[in-house]
Amino acid sequence: MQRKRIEAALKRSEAEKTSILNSMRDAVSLKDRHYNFLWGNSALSNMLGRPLSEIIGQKCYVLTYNRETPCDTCTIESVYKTGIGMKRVQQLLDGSLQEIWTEPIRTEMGEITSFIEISRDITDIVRYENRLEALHEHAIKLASAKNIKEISDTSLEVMSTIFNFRFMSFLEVQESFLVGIGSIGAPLAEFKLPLDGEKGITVKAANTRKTIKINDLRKDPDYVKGSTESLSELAVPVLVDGQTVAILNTESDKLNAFSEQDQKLLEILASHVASAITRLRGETHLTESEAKYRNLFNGVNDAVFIHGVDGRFLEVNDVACQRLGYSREELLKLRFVDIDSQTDPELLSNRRKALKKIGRLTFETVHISKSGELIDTEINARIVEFENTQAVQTTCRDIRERKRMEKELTALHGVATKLAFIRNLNEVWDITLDTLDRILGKHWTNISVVHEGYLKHVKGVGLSPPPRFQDLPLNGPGIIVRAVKNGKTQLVSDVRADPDYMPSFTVDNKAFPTLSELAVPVTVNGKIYAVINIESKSINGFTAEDQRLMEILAGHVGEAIGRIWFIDELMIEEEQLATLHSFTNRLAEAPTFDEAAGVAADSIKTLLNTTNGSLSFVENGALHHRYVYGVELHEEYVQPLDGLGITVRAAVTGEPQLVPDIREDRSYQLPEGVSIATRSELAVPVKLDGRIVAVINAESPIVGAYTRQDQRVLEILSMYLGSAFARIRDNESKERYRDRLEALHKLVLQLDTAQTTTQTATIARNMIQSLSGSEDARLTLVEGEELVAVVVPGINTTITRLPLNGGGVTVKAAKEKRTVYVEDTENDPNFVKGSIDALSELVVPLMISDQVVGVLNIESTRKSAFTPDDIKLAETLALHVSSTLERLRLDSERIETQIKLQRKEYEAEQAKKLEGMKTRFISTATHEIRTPLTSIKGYTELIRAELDARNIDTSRRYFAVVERNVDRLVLLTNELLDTQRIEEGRLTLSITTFEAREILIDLIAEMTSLLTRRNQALEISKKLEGKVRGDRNRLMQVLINLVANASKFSPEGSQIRLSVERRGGDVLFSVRDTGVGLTKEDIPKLFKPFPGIHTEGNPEGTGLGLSICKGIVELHGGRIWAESEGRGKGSTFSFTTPEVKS
Amino acid sequence: MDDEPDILDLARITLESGGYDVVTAASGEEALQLIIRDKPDLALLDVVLPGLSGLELCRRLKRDPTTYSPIKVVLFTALGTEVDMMLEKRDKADGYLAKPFTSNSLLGLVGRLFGDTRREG
Repeated sequence: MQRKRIEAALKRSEAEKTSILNSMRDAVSLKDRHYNFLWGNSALSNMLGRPLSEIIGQKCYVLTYNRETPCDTCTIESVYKTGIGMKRVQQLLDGSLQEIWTEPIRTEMGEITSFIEISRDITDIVRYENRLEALHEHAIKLASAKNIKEISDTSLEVMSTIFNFRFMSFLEVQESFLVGIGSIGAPLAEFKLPLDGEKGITVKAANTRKTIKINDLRKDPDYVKGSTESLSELAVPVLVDGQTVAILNTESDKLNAFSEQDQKLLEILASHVASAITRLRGETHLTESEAKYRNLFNGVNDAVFIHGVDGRFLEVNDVACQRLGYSREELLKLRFVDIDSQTDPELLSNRRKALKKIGRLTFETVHISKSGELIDTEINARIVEFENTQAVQTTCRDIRERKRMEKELTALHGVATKLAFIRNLNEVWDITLDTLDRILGKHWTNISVVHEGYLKHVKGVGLSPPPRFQDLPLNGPGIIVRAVKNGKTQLVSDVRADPDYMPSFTVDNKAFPTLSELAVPVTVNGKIYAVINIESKSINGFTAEDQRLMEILAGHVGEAIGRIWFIDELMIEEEQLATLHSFTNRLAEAPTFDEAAGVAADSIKTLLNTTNGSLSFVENGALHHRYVYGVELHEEYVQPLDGLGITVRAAVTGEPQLVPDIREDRSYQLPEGVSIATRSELAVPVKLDGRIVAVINAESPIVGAYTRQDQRVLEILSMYLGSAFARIRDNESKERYRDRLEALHKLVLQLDTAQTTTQTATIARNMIQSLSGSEDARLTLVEGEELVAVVVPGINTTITRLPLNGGGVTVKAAKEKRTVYVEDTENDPNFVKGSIDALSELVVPLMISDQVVGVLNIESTRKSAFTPDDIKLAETLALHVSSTLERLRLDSERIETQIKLQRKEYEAEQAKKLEGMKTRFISTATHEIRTPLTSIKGYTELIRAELDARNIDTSRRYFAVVERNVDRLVLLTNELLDTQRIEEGRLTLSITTFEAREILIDLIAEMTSLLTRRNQALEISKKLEGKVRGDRNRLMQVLINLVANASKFSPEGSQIRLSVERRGGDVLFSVRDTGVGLTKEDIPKLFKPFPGIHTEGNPEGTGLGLSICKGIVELHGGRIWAESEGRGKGSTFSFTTPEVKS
Repeated sequence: MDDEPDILDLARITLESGGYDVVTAASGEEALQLIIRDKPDLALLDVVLPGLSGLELCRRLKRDPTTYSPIKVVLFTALGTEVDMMLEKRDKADGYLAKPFTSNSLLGLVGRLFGDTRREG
């Protein structure tokens, strides 16, 4: 956003710049240090013949100049090194000649960042000389024209071939009409314009007897559309005896088609045409009648001589006599060669020959008067008959003025070119005065400029000692004043006859004896800026030609000054921007508000070259002028925002204030006791997040010291300042928040030490005060339907109980379970005053799992004291306080709760375990039942088939299988029942006391058939002699189980050992085998139902036997265990029963 | 294959009565050796066995069909129906048989697996 706005601001200035630039005739461009185009005007685009978009960014010399010329880089390097502007002449690729001026642009620190270049096309000026020469050659043709049509044709030919015009016409004045004689490029049929008509450029030129050049016909009210659509026009009158006799006219379909050179050349052509017409008229008259001859002979402006073949004068007219200073008689004694300065015999002989051959001749020569004065003369000679002899009539025109004009005009071109590259106004004046002194001779020549209602003398030449000059008020008399007022040249041939004349200067305390005066206004950018004035001690000191030359010079001067001003402005702009950017870079890095403000103050001073100014901040409804420079203030100057002041207005409206003259602005204000001669002021607001936070201003003792450009510069600065403030604020608040959060986390540890709510409240209060300074804090806790304040020792609390159904922010926070922030307690109806005169308050509920247990109130004696960061911190603190309160509440209940919880958990775990066991048990039991069932079902099916086939033997065999599996099933169901009984504690024992021996005898009886089948021996190693108390059948069941297992898991023919002995107070039974043994992993599972221990060749166990054994043994109060040294190493199963002492 | 001799015999008798050639094994390891040696067309395996169980054996046979020839596997088990369902998802046995089984159910299943073609042979 910010960047876009700055770019827009720059663009706007760019647009204004471009419009001025595009109105300039010279190509202007800005180039960077590497000579790439940065921008240019439309003249540059025209010069290079391509749109600006194709030019900008390109290397300059690639586009424009001959690449082989290293001139550009040389110039740039030289300018870069010396820091001084340079001029050079360069030929472009299209052959045109450019005079190029290069000026460096520097930052405040002097670093060159770019260059401004101005190119002026001087091709025409160079060509001018050549064209002038060609023109003179054609003039001879004009002189030999026999009629007006021939004059017209020759003129048009010159215009077409030498001037390269496209549309042109020759118009003759016939009575009261302009009549077309000839034209090229456009038809001219029946061209006839009334001279008393109001319209027509040519008519205007004829009537005013002045050249008229129109650069844009569309804007000209006088223009009458002809057969062609023209955009520019040049009309030059041909004057004979001060009267318009013809018009040379040319038009173009382009704007600004005609240069000053074109105009001047056409004017010279017009003077040639005038000669031709004069001569033609004279000739015509000569042939008419002898009687009229003398009158006419004497009636022309030209000197006319008639001389014989020998050169002796036969007749001369009055003009000839006057011009050469001879009497008629004296002249008639002389020969033609006597008055001609030309003495070269060859040239003279050639002239004679040519005249003889063609009958007429035109040439220029220089005559010598009687007094020796040299007179530039144009001669038209032709062979005539005079008094019946062949004679030569020469019409001699004094062309001294024309010659001088030509010379001066050429000189003026040089001056104009010189002026184009001058950067200093003083130098412009010097050149002007110098030029005038040279071309108009020794007179008092001076220059005055318009300044604040006066014409002020600048400088002058031609008088020694220099005269004292008096400033002339513009509303008073004076010829130069009139030149300013009328905007026109004042040519006064005798000042004594002019009522406006007043002597404006004295030499040696005497008024200068001026008799004639010529004052030409100098117009710059459409406004009269100066007057060039020249005064003579003689009457008629200045001619119309003098006037013309001075006007041309004044035109050049005006243009030069305009360019200087513009370039100055441009340079200032560019320099300002370059400097501005160096400041904005510093702003972008300023780490603190103070530093940013300092940079801003610095940049105002530097950028606007101003001495007084300030950077002021908007705070609490007032503008605090915190950074003031140029004035010593003993205390901070504060202006209320609802009061007067231009900076205040900027702060209130948010708009930049550009006041050229504070006397016209009633709101200007100064601190008391301070006087600054401020005349103009510029104040620009600084915005931060859309709010006006500050104003930067500059003041100057000069009226109108600040421009729109300055305003834009300050606006850009203000944008950068705003974003710098935003950046710094964000950084600072982030940093501060981090620091405070860190501090909070350290302080929170103190809360762990709190043993009571009072301690908690005290610690919380201290924490808040150390984190944010002046605030007070209170803690209230929910007790039933009330909020009860925790009383902190030493702190007065006015409120101790707040009903939860009442009002107030504290209750509100508790009820709404959210933080309430009262920015201004005076304006909050909910607020109830607490312990201090709080102006803002933060109320944070203390929550434990969605239940409000209390409220933390934080108060400040300032309005709007809490930032969003403060709120975050307060809420964090509230979390810690709540958990501390929760800890305190739980401390008493904790142990009990924990035990309960643990027991519950334990029970749940047990239940879960049991449930899993049951599921597994049922699943396994089902499996165990299904296995014999599968056999029973399968074999009964087989038996049926065998019986059907009457295979009794097979049937019998299968029947045995069924029986076996039925037995197994019976055993299994018994064991399942036993297991269930044991599990449910329902197994009852019928305890008796019996001899141990008896049970061993029964065991051997029971096991013999099994052991015999497996060829195993049961060895009873230790026989206990004595009585055992217990359930005889159940103990027997245990022993059978153990011995059967031993048998089952031992190889055939192995031995099983049984021992019964006394051990402590118990009887220990052990069954040892040499079978497969047990792993360590197996042993713990052994006595559980369906332990799932399968070993190779372990058939048909129910998986319940050992768990039942365990149940039985344990019911007897004994224990059962197994030992083994590992797989294949046999195992020993032992159990105990309590002994019965006899 | 089954570790219950009665059931092993029962299956053998039943299958032989259906015209199949039968070899029996009382453990997974033994069954594997027989399969490698005799390359039978079908293995009837008890799921729950000590050592190499029927389930594991089935997986091994199906994972490497080139080594063990394209053998068909029928698992039979006395575990509950739910467990059977779970097993069905985890291995790629060709058929399942729950204990207790009838001769018809066994022969029917085996017959279906051979598309009845071996029934007569």
